[in-house]
Amino acid sequence: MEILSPEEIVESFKAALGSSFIDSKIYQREVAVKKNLFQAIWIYVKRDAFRQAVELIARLQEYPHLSIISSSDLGDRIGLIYHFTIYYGQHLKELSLGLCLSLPKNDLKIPTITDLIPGAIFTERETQEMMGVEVVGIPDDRRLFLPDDFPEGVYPWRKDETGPYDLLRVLPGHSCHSDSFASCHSEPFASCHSEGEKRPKNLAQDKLSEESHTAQDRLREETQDPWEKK
Amino acid sequence: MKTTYTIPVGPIHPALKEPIRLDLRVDGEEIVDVDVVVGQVHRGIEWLGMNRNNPIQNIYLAERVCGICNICHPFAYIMAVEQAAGITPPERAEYIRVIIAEMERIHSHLLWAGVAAHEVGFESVFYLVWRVREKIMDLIESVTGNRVTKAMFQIGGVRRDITEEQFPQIRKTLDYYKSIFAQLKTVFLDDRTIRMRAKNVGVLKREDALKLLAVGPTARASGVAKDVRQDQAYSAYADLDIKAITPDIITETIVGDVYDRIIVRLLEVKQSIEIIERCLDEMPPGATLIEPKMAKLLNSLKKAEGKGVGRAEAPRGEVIHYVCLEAGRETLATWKIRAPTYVNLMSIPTILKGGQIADVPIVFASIDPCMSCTNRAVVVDRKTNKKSIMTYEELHQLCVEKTRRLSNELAR
Repeated sequence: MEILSPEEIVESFKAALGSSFIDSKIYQREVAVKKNLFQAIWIYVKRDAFRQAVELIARLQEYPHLSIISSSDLGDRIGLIYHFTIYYGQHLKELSLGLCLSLPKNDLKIPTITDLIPGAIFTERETQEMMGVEVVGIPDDRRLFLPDDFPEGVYPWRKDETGPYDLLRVLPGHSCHSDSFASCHSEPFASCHSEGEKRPKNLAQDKLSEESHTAQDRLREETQDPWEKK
Repeated sequence: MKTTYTIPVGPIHPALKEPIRLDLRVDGEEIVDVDVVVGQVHRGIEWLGMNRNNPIQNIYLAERVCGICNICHPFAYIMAVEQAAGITPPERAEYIRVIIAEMERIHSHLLWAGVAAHEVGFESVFYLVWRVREKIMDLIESVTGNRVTKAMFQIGGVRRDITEEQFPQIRKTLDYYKSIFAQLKTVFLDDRTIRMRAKNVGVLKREDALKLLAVGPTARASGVAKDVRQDQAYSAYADLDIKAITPDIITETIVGDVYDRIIVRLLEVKQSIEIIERCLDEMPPGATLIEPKMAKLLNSLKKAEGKGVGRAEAPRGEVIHYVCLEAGRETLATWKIRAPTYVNLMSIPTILKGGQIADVPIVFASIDPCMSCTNRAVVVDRKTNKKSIMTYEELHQLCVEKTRRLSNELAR
């Protein structure tokens, strides 16, 4: 199999995807004494070309290795990165290839790639439950890590109102609103408890948010007791 | 009509180092189907990194992702942060990182070898291997100051140097392992009992390994010469011309069974010894940390913007950490961790199918799952829906009895 340089790979994506190709970055760094190159490529594509891009990767490397899908909450969009590695099994030839997409929050859908890479199933299930991105056509849509009684409509990795803030166990002496958590989260924290805030219509969660204050107070009292007794 | 049973193994089981549940559909002794249920110890570590901790605190959190792989996680993590923030660690630090990582591999593979021997009921080997493992644990303690969480890594270098005075002690321990290596090899590869239980059991074919994204010794035992140390230039490994170890070095043909996984791990112990020796010989002089003042480092990390991916070869396979930094933000914007067992678990249904219940402990242990221990399994009779508890001891007993039975048959 012919091994392309990062620049050639980027060019081949540009040519094949046309206007659906957004951007690319090549990262290179010299490592240790012999100054061999560590290389990584990031390719940004539009969603409509996502499957085509994965097929392109599968053409570069038979059985491309999908390490993981990482996802970030970017405000009104969700960023997904499919971390592939290609050209493995050869001395210092391997390339990390991150396929980056962003989806608007009102349309969080991405086609499955389990037909191309059967081993993608775990990470697709995880992305679905943790980020609330619907993987269309996933052969097994059960939860992976979250327990069955976890409320629906709450996504642990989100930083908006669907984040898991109501589920936090707040330690004695701290509060959900305090600065002990990251400052950039003060807003979602405030909004998640403010009145009149629109919450996803979900019975389980509505109930949970109503009870959350009392439940947390109770928990705080319980955890504080032994200390006070001392 | 045949009755199929569902046997849930776990979530607590000594063959698993962390909780996990395997739902085995069995027809008599034969396993028809397997479902893997995970999540029992999901601790939300990534959430903490994205919401509570600053990047330096995260090093110590990453170290606690796993007790056995407590080097490879911070290793991958700091590489990701260094990439995101544009920091280049000193050359000497790269060599120290590799030495520590290889020490971890030796102790982890020996630990696994002991567990595997225990699973088949070969207790004397289990005691022998774990006694031998103490030497490397002592070395780790004297070099890093701790047996388990070593806190050696720092963004932009390592926190402790390995000095010339420590070299003789390291070499002495390595010489000890070299002196007993032939003995270990005989015990694990030539012993009749181990061959009986490991040959042609739990087979993972090369194509399945590739499709199911297997990594580490599990993949290499199936003939996929995939090793991050060989494939990608990271840390001092880039200087050392590492070659991925596949079982055909000894057996000529690759089967992808439990025996092949033993070969790979055994040879990797030897490879790790050689890597450490080369690192000691070639270690460049110089500083070990680029910025010793934590406040200054934190400040520059807060201003940094970018993303990085760190990949390291853990004893069990590739660990990947993805980190995204945002300027003005104290925590990480995104942190995604993927440990090797995450992907190796997807091979479990394939390698258990068609096997026997008594093979479950050794086959499951053969991927060296980084999950915890089998205390009990619930046997559900699908006809009557009656549940009966099968303790780990009973399951383990089944496995031990099979070894005895096969030994007796051979002796006859």
